[in-house]
Amino acid sequence: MTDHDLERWLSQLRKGSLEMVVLATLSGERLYGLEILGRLETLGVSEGTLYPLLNRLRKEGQLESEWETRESGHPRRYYRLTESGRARAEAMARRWREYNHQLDELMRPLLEGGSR
Amino acid sequence: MRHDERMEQEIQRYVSRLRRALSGLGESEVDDIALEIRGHIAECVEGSDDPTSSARRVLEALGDPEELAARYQTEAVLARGRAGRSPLAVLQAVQRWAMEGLFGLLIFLAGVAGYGTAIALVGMALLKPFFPHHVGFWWSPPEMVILGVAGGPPDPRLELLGWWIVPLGVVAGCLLWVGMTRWLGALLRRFRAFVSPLEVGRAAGGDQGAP
Repeated sequence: MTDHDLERWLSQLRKGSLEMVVLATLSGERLYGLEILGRLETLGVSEGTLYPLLNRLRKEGQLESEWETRESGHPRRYYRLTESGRARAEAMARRWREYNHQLDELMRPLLEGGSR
Repeated sequence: MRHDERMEQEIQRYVSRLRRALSGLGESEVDDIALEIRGHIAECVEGSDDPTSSARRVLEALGDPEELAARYQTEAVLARGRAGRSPLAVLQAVQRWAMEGLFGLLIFLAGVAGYGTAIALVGMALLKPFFPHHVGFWWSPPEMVILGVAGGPPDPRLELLGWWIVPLGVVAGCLLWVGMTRWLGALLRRFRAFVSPLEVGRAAGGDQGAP
């Protein structure tokens, strides 16, 4: 596997967990698009991916949005979790932890072997 | 100042192209999306020392307005197609899929053929009372095998179904219609999860609808 392949594989992994990550970002507070993007910067999420996803999650009733006008500048659209969005995010987080745990067990020989 | 103006025009053009490409979604939804994207661009440009280059950077990160709109549309259509029992939503979702590759195209063609056959079967049954001698199932291979509507009425002695063609046609057509919708919906749930990266999270998160 070349570095390029490895990067592609990693970006598929990231995209796969994107919905969970976005829901998790909103677990504590309401945020608008640019703020969400800022928190996900290190995960390589682009605005072109984020906004359509936010729109779908809103349509599915997992998020709700509200506009806030500002004294100067464009209005901001804030997102927050709905009840069902929160339930879904929690369920995803639990499954994710379980899955991670199993993977850790599986990978241990690989990683310990590598440090020898 | 000329630069600012030109930049402003470019942003305006981007947003109106996006709006045009989003047609098909609800009007208020399009308004919200356009306002949100407009605000996003503006806020990225606001604090910057070099507005022109940062505006260009945001537009690039957003991608072509048509591509961005396609992502909005795909998300919307997919959500409906995967959840719904409506043939229109399912076929629309498959049509999006068809534009992405050969496999999707084949599924789409199969879908069109299946729904077309279903409509033809029901239509044939409905025509029987009006053209009793022209509608039927003539079986005399290898010269003649006709199911449906025949021009010059063939020999009635070779016709096998008689009036049974009405209930059989309606039932077969309806079964095919429902079966097609189920099958396409199942394919969407099974394969689209891997085709559209945004959808992978759904599948991994325990989609109850998945087989």
